[in-house]
Amino acid sequence: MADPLLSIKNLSVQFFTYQGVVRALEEVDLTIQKGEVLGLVGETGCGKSVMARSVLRLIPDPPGKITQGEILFKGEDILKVNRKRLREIRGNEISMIFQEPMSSLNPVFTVGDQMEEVITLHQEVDRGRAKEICIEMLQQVKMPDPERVLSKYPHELSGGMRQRVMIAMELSCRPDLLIADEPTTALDVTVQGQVLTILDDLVRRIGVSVLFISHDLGVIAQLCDRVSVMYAGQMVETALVGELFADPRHPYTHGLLQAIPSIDEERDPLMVIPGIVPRLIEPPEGCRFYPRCTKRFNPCDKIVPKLVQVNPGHHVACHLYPRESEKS
Amino acid sequence: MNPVIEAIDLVKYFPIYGGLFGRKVEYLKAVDSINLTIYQGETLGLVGESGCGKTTVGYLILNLLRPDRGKVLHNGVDITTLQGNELQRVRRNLQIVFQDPQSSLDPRMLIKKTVGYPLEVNRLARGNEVVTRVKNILGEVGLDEDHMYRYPHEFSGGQRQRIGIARALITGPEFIVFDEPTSALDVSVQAQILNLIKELQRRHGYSYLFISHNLSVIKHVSHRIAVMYLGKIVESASRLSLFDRPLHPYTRALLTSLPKPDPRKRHTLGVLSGDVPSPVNVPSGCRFHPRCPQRMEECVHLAPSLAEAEADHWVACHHYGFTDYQERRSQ
Repeated sequence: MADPLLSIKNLSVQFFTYQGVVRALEEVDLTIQKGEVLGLVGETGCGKSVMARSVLRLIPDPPGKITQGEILFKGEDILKVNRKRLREIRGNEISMIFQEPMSSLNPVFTVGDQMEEVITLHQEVDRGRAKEICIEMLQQVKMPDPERVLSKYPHELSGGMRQRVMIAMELSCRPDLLIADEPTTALDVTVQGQVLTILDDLVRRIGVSVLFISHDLGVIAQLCDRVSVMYAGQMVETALVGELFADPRHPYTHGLLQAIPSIDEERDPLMVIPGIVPRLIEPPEGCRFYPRCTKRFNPCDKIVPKLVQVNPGHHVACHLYPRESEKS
Repeated sequence: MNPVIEAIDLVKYFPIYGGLFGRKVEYLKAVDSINLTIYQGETLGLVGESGCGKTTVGYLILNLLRPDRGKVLHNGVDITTLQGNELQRVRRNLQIVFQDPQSSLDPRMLIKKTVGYPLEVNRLARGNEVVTRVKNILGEVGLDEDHMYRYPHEFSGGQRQRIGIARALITGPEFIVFDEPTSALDVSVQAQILNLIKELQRRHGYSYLFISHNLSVIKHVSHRIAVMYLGKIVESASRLSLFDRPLHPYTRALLTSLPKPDPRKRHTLGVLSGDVPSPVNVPSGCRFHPRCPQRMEECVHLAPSLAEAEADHWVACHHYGFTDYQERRSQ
């Protein structure tokens, strides 16, 4: 296989707070191939957003610190590049869509000003050409009457329109990688449908790779090629989307899939993962899921399980699937 | 079966003040002549997108808001005209669990006080009896006795929602409104709370109005379901009938827009264009017509009323105009 576009190795991120050290990410690995849509799924506080922000070095320091690991983007370690190169990467080669479009658009500038700024910063074009690109991009996200939208302020647009402006803006520089952090969580279901359809079409058409973060397994199932599941700062499972939903191996993934109420089948009572997500200050040693796991056994509370390949392209971090070398 | 709650022709317009002298310039039509009946021991699911008026309906039914028009009958008595002691006596039977367990619990009150307060207010118990009953009810919702002596911040979101449920249950109500009780929770915790809500109903025969924007959750908990759009009920039916044969174009669109957690069933999610219009300037005729893929001429001018298109399956859509629909079915 060709070199991956993005490859995160052994990444740990910690936040130093008055209550103690929050171990938000613990030795996490992740790869994204060119043209691939990778879904990153997990519950609140599992480290999905920290992961996304680390890729662009957006973790506020202090209190956050990337304590180890590397983030190779096209072979270059983002954690080691200088400020100038980082500016070239941000917004141009890697861009990001946030959850709440209102807080990522500036309320005192028009949509046109903000979109043109991105384009003139990263591409050598004059304002006239920049405006053309804006209109083109807004058409691509199916915005009705793009020219009028350019002269509007963010508060004059609805949530769905704002998120479409964000998509248009982020893709206007043709990045290699788009990070979408819960882009439709704040939207209603019919509007979410519109935005996801537009995003999906556009992404496949221009062939950009996507790191798609969501807590909604439905959205992940509909959109992604491959899925990584996180739990409490650890990566627990990675597989192609079809395989993950059909044959989840990690007890957490399995529980998560069974816990969603389904439209298509009757599940009563719902299967429950007992207990709650652990605090990441002094998290459980070993596998962080073991206090809630129904299949826990001897080594789970002491040794952190490593990702093991159980099928081609299907990796699980669980002691139920020992490595070849550890099998006795 | 006896209806526990009957809402008849409920209307609530919120005035919007503006202009130089702060006059009423417009109205936000939050709820526009809605009828609902909730029978004993059943759950009515109320589903719709944000701003469609579902929470307002919940508040109107509990008389937390006074309707501009219409009645709410609780066991045959109109509660919208009650005041003072009479109202307080009725409210014991009607309770609510709010969406956000963080803001609906007083951070400076011990759980014992929060959960026991309804008993004291209603003079249902005093002193040690309050403590005993709080203990019992906490056990019922899956918390420990010693949780009584803690404050809300010491609990997780799911546990706080259990406290909210305990507080609603302690007066021994007949009817409970759940206003998006799980939308602030993660799926694994949501499953615990949904199971608890259903289990309590099986054990005690409560009647529920369950408000949610999440179709899969609504399907899981409800016996009957009403779909709201911009202050109106557009479709209402038993849960199987609604999910197997959705009739209203809006209900169909909602179901198609829902991303299914199954990669084998991929489909285009964006079936509706546009956004939900503002409830201040509601569209003429059928309120859904600007977004409706099956719009006809009369939809623009004439508002459809709810009609029984199939047995106990009500829909407000000109496509099921009574005679017209019968004709097409017979063809």
